[in-house]
Amino acid sequence: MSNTTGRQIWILEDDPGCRFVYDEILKDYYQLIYFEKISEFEIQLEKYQDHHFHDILIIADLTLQDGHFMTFLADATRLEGKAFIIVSSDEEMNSIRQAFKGGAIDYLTKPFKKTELIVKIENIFNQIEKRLEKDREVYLDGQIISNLTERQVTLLRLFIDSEDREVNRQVVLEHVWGDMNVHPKTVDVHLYNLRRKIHPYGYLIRSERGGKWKLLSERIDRNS
Amino acid sequence: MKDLTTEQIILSMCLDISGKVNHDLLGSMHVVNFCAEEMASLQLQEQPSRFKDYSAKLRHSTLQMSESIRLSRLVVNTLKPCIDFQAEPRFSLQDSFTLAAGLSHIFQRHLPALKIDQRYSKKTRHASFSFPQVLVISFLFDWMAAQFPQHDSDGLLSVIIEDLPDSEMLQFSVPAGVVKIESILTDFIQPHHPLYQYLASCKEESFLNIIAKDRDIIGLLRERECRDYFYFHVDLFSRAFNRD
Repeated sequence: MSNTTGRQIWILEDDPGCRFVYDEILKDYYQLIYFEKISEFEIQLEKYQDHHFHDILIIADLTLQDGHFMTFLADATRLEGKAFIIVSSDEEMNSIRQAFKGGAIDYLTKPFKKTELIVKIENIFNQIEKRLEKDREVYLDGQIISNLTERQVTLLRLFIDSEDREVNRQVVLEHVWGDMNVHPKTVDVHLYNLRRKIHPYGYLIRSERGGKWKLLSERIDRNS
Repeated sequence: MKDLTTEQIILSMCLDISGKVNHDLLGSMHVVNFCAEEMASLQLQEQPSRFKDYSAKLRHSTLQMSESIRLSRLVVNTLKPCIDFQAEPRFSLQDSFTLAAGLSHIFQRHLPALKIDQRYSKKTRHASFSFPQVLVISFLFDWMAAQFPQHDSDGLLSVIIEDLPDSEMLQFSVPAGVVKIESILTDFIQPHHPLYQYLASCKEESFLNIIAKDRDIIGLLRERECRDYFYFHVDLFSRAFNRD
């Protein structure tokens, strides 16, 4: 069997025996990347700072060569938005409490069961997937518009939050693309795609005078 | 930080050792349980090479468990008498090096283990070291073990410590080419080392600096029969501690 999921698991573990266990359980399903030291892990985090972490799970042991993972966790922002679980032989209530307080999704004590680890990891990736789907939705006049791309979500929310649901090209460029240089036609292509997505829900985006666009409900606003 | 007596420092270190050994034992037990369960499955029994891998892993982890227990017993039993002493504890040469190597391996478990062979004559048998001096020797073992390329999981670094004939010094030897004396300047002092805090509690952490820089205390002696020999000047080492 080969790793077909494209998902990575970053494992902070300095014990070669435990790395062997992880290898045997997970290597056929996920790409495993090991870190023996917190310092190595920090370098990797730095490299991936612009990455979304939708496809990465972090598994951390608490006692590592160059320190305790809880000390690293004390800086709460470091793993913000990243899914991680603690796997440790430490069964102390305080450690478990601290781990969850620091943002851990789960806490497994060694020795753990092979199936327990597999099921928990699958569950976490499923939760991430569901959350992602949720992030691709926009609530509009009591309806959930789903299956949008990240940029479409930003664009649609921009319309909803603007006065009279009306925006101009400059505002769209600044809000959706920021400092990026984009071809003038890019906005039109994205608007075209967004129109197609919202049409089944009874919405349209109409071009207005002065290079503006307006979000309208076909039922209420068509003749306004 | 408030001043601690040597007795308090030793007690605190013993608690730390107990936590570390417990952690190591559970880690090894985890591997043993996993391998035993997998090896009992029919799927693995039909794959001889994987079965062999698991068997080797199981054996190694079982050995690790017994080694952890042996080391913790050795260290705690050596330190136990110090707790009731009114005077500052002293350790014989034999106990000092054994204790230092044990501490080194308990606190830096990722480093290759040392196989210490001590051969002293009557001449040096009277020598003894204090607790902070033993801690410094632990750093010495760590520095050596860290340079040892671990080819396999059973790799041990053989260290022979013996008298240096016609001299007040000891010599210790390791397989040739493993330990580079030049690296003592840069790699010997590790402020993040778990034992550093105990040395600092004894207010002797600056001594690491002396060891790292003073080539009269420790240095390269010669290479002979595939082993590198280093000298260790016991008297200078002790005197450096009593510099105040």
